[in-house]
Amino acid sequence: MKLSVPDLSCRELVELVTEYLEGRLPFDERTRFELHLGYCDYCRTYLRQMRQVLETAGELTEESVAPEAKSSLLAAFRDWKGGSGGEPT
Amino acid sequence: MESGASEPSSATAEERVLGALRAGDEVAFLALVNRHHRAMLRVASMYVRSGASAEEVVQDAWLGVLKGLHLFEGRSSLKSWIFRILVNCAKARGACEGRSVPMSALGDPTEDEGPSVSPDRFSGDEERWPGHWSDPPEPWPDAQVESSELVALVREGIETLPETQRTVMTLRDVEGWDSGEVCELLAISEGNQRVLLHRARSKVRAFVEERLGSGRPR
Amino acid sequence: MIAFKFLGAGAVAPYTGFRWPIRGEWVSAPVHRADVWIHACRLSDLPYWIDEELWRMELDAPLRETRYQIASACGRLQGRVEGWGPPLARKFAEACAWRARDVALPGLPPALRDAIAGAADLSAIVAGAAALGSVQGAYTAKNAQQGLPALTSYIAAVLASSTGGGLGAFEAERAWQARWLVAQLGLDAAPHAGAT
Repeated sequence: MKLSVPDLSCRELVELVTEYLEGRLPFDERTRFELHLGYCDYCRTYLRQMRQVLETAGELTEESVAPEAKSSLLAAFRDWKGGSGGEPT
Repeated sequence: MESGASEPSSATAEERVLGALRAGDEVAFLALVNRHHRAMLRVASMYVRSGASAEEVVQDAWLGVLKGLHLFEGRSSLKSWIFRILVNCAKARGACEGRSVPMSALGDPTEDEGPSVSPDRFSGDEERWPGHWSDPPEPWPDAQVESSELVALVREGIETLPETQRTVMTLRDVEGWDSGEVCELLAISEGNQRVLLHRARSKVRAFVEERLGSGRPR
Repeated sequence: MIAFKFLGAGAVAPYTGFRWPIRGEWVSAPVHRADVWIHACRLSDLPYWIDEELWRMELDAPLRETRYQIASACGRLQGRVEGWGPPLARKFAEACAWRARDVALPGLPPALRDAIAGAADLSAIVAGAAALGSVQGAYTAKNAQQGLPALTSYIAAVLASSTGGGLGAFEAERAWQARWLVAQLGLDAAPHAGAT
């Protein structure tokens, strides 16, 4: 069935998810995107999962520096402090 | 929350860090190192052969930061200045290792990877509703989404990504850099950056879906 | 200006997850960022945006009207339209399914057409259509049974467009759906945006 209505297929939508989330879809395309989500629960699930992935990525804790690396950086900092670096108080 | 106190802008926060560094504050220095450690390793890895090399590049970069701190005038952000030093160290090390990094090594984002979801999960063009889900995604159970399981899966998924996609997603989603900062660091366009981010996130989603649903035939 | 807004359960915006304040506090977006303005429905827009809860909204000027929605930088919820809930949603889905049947009938093979024309209720339609392998009618009827008003109304509108009327027929079917909703919910009693 050829569609001549404001819509897009699920296959097209999944390729536009990141642009949508970045707020970069042109207005007409964004309307089509949201009209599709209006009736398609599957695409709503897909969008929700993409959001869950990017939000969860933001919860990753800091990666710590290895102890040896940390001591050698600290040593370098002290050198610098005592040498040419550091502001006179 | 103190009444009347406004949220410090990142500029003022950076000024405080700079001040602390210049005053020789070791705690502030280590905090700064930890803060950027993951991102610096990721970026360094794009230019050198091994994880060990990347670690050394990061060390070199910090030495360079300390050496040049008295020259830093604040015309760019402290973060972008640190990362520019890092990239220079990484490129120098990469050259020493005989690994040249022309632009194409970053991966051509316009190179066709194909669709981000397998076409066999959608109905074909000859069918009644072409392009609609035929094998749709199932919602992930709340219990797993809210638990540390999802965090672990996302971390693992990111590690499976190709180099440049991994870097873009790490900087944007893990580290919270904005797209302008990422484009400036990697010297790529906004559009290319978005393509890389899209592919990265799509792959990680697929990875999580596969692992959460394992056992169920697709 | 009064308009309407469909939201997910708990007055949550379905795509962004934004939790709307239900006690009527104003929500605003930066005036220069039209891409994040608040969207709402005129009466004619209702069928396009169906979701769990229907709310009355007040929008502040300036307004931007587009083909399927109205937008503003400033809006607030004014109260639930209590008539919209699962029973009416199901009734709406069924009404759309019957319309879809009427549109599809002329195009069906004779055997199926006779079977379906005589069907007294949706179960009979589903059974008849499924037995003869016609996906269209069965899909619509099945979804109505599961009470998916958004999907059923969409399919009915698409079917209307597929008989040669294109976008005009699609929008005309949507207009019929809007009139149905307005009448059932009594929405034309008060002054509002986009009175038909």
